Amino acid sequence: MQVIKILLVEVESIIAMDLARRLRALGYEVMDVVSSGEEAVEKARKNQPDVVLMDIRLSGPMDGVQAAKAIRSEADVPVIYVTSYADTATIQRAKEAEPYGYIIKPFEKRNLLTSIELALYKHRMEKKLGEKQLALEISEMNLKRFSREILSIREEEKKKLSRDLHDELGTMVVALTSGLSLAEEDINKGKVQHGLKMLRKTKAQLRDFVKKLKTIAIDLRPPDLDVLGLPTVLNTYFAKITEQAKLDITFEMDIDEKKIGEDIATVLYRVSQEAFTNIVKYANAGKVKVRLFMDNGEIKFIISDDGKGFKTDKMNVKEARLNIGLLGMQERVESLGGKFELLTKPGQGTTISIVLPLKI
Amino acid sequence: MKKKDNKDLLREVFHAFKNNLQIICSILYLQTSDVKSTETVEVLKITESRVKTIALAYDKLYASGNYDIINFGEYARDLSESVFFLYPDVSQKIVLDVDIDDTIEFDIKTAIPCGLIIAEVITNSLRHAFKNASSGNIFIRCAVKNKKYVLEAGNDGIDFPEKINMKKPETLGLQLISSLVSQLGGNVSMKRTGGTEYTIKF
Repeated sequence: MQVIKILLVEVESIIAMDLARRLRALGYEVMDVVSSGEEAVEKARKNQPDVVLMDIRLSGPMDGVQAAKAIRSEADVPVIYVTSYADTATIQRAKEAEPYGYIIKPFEKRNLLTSIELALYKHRMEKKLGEKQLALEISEMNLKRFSREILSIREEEKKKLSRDLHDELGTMVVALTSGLSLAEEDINKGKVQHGLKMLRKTKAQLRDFVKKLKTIAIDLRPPDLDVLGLPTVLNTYFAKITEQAKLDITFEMDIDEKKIGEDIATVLYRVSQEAFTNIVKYANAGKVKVRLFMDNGEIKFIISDDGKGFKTDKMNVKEARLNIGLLGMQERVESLGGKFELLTKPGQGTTISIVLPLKI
Repeated sequence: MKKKDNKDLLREVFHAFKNNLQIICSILYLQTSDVKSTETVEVLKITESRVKTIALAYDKLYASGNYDIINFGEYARDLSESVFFLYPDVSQKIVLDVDIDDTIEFDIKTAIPCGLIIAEVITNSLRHAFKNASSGNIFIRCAVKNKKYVLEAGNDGIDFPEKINMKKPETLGLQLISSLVSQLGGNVSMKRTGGTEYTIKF
């Protein structure tokens, strides 16, 4: 262990000799003995002792309390008073500099030892606490940034929904209405064949309308996993992505479907959605491999792409959104007692690996 | 020069006095490294401890806020502990029990002799009563009985040598106890039944 270095601030040379000898006998190093506050502050700043033992009455205009305050703010070194003052007024004033100890003269050897060790311990703890506080503040800042991101994502989703409803469904309804009107007109005019043709066309349009409505509804809430089953839902979903994003997706499944509970199925479906949203938006991938299988009594779900990958340690603001998606996946998986793992490097694709316990 | 008021003056004088007691203690301590015989070292150590016993009384006096009364329980506990650890090798095997009626308050003229007596008894006990012992007790008690203060101090170690005569003690420690008791205007008796016990009434 490193030797603890002590700075002594004491006017009386005999007392200083005594202190220095006792401290050395206790295994400490006395790096300097000074008698004024000014020297004490300077030495503390320059030589960074581990502890300062400080008398209150000093030579020179600065007293021990002032010197302790200066040392605390300039050098962050713990100060212990060693003084003959035992009156409450002085102790009160000394407290202003937040001392780490107060030893009254004549001192005892064991008081020296315990006071110094306590001061060192307290100072170490305070430092640690300060670091934790800093980490807490950073994570709070991240949280704020994330919640801003989440808000803007929600806004975007609302816009998309409104666009889907208004632009696509709205246009389709207009077309349907006008088709029906045209058919009605034709039939009124006696052009029945023409009118029937129009009705058939409109009927086909109505089918498209219902199909579109279904797609929007599926996007909004999870499909009936318990009715269709996870394999069907995933296959449908992958087929849709393949078509929309021109991705080459292979899906391998080697697991008894009945073993997958509904909550696990929901998590796997949501994780797939999140993962493919990221892949489509950011990865610039050509091939994606999805595997769902049993391993050692646990469910394993692995999605790996051959895209550009990313650095996991440092994410820029643009990637914060991706980060939220990852966090969301992780939380879903961990809520079921599972493990979430992300393997990625720039230029080496991305693999998401999930292990979920079988429902007992 | 501006005249300081009495309170500030008292504080300064008090501080200088305490600092000088520290200097005396420091000289006694530093002297120990300059002497060869263990007996001399021992004498210096004990003397330093006696000075500290006196200094502690002034701390208690000053901390009390009024300058004529000392809470004797607090004083006795602190000084006993201080003396007790003079011989850490022995004291780690021994239990120290200080039982003082907390309502007892003394002025400095009574507190210091009582403090010195307690210090002598504890020092003597640690030095002589527990040779080769693996455990033992030292006790200090003080209470008021029949309108008199009764201070009992002793140990349950080796019996005191029979030849000692409290009327005409030979060692300085015992001489100190005897003369301090008469300074208090009291009397002392000593029991030697499975240890040594002084009872002082004043």
